[in-house]
Amino acid sequence: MSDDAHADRGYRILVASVPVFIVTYFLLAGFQPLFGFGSGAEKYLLYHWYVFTYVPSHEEVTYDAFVIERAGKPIAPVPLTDSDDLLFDEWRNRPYYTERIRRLGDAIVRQSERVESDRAAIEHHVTHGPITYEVREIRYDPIRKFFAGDILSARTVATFETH
Amino acid sequence: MDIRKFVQWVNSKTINYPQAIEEYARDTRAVERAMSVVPYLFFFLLFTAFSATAQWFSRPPFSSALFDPRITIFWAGYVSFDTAVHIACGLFLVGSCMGSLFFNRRWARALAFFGLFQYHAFMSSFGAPEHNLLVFVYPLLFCIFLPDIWRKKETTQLERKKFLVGFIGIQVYIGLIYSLAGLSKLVRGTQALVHGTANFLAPDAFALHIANWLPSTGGDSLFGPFIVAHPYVGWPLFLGMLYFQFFTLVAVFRPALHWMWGVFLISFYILNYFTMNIFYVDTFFLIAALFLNSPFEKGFTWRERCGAMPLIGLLFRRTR
Repeated sequence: MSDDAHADRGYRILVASVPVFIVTYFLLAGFQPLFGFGSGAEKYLLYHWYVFTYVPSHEEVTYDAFVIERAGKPIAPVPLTDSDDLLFDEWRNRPYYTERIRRLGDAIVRQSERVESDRAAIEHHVTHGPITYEVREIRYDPIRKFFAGDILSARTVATFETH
Repeated sequence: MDIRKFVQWVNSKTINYPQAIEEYARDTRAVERAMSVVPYLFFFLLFTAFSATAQWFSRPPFSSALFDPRITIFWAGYVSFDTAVHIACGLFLVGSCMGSLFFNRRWARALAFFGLFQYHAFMSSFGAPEHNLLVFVYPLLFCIFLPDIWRKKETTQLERKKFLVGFIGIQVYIGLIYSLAGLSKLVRGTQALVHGTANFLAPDAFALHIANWLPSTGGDSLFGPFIVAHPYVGWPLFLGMLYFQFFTLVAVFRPALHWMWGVFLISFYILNYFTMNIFYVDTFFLIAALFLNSPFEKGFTWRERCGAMPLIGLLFRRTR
């Protein structure tokens, strides 16, 4: 094969690599979670950028954790993420904890095996002494809650004591 | 409607990619513009590396409590957390310095990529993916494969073509991630529409997003409360955002849209900040360099730009 033909072949491979990259990235990163296969979680370096795909409804369900006892003494319930009991590095941790608590509540309601691992992930960051906390299911209209802080209903789905 | 004519019309708006590369490679101005963009990617990387390092040594964004090293920085498991911070920041700084000083040499671009790759892995080891820096990881990987034509007085047509294909590869990656973001909203939204639940076509979709998001982050925004109170103001913004996001990959292959999409993508981040308090600024530079300053921009007329817009362009076809 002459040098020119070799170079031309290399160039054609380079040109073809662009559509090949598009299809490969889509199949590896995007296709599975979008169409219900796989875990849906973003794979490291193959992020699918599926953000804000879910439009909240006027009746949302979320979960929050409230500290109700410190060192065996009852206290007025305080959200775990607003308390001094969690190790907060920076504001970036807040969504992390919020999501962890939401996952824990979801696992409790679904009676999933994930409960213990999700619990451990949260309690790993509790810095001060033993606490007792409730996980509550909260139903709310985002717009009403945004302006007036109203919620539709709340119920305790589990109570845990840190080790 | 004659399907064949319609397909011909769509094709006329989209560049025939390999053939267009041949033409653009003969255009010295286009090639020089593409060549001028690349060094600035490395200059910006250097700025980012210094900012990141300064942050780690003044207000660390994370502590060791959440640290769970990714496989690509397995070495961090064998050293103390402080040492890992020093190594990750050091690699990022040295790599981006070399990339900035010697962007015209492949080894320096490879070193810059490696530094960023390691730092990105480090920042992705705290329980959540690091999206901000990832938008630079793939572009820098593609930069390694660009031919070193900056150092040559004379370049061949083949070298120029290879350079432009590499450049398009970077644009394609950026286009792909926005289109994936748009596609997911459309697919999930359509599923919700079929099931009769809240979906992207609802006039208050954007207001609900804001009302649900802002309190969960503990943040506030300048225009968020206004849009929550007046959902119809947010509706066209939300649908417009969906349109532009979804068609970004198409826009990459339509040079007449590069400038317009650059303006949109930057506006999108400004809107995000003022409504949802999402501060995502690093991508600004990449968008400006690749789309506002696109080498494939030929001074198109407004009619050509609007006519090239997916779907909306049909309106301009009929008014001719």
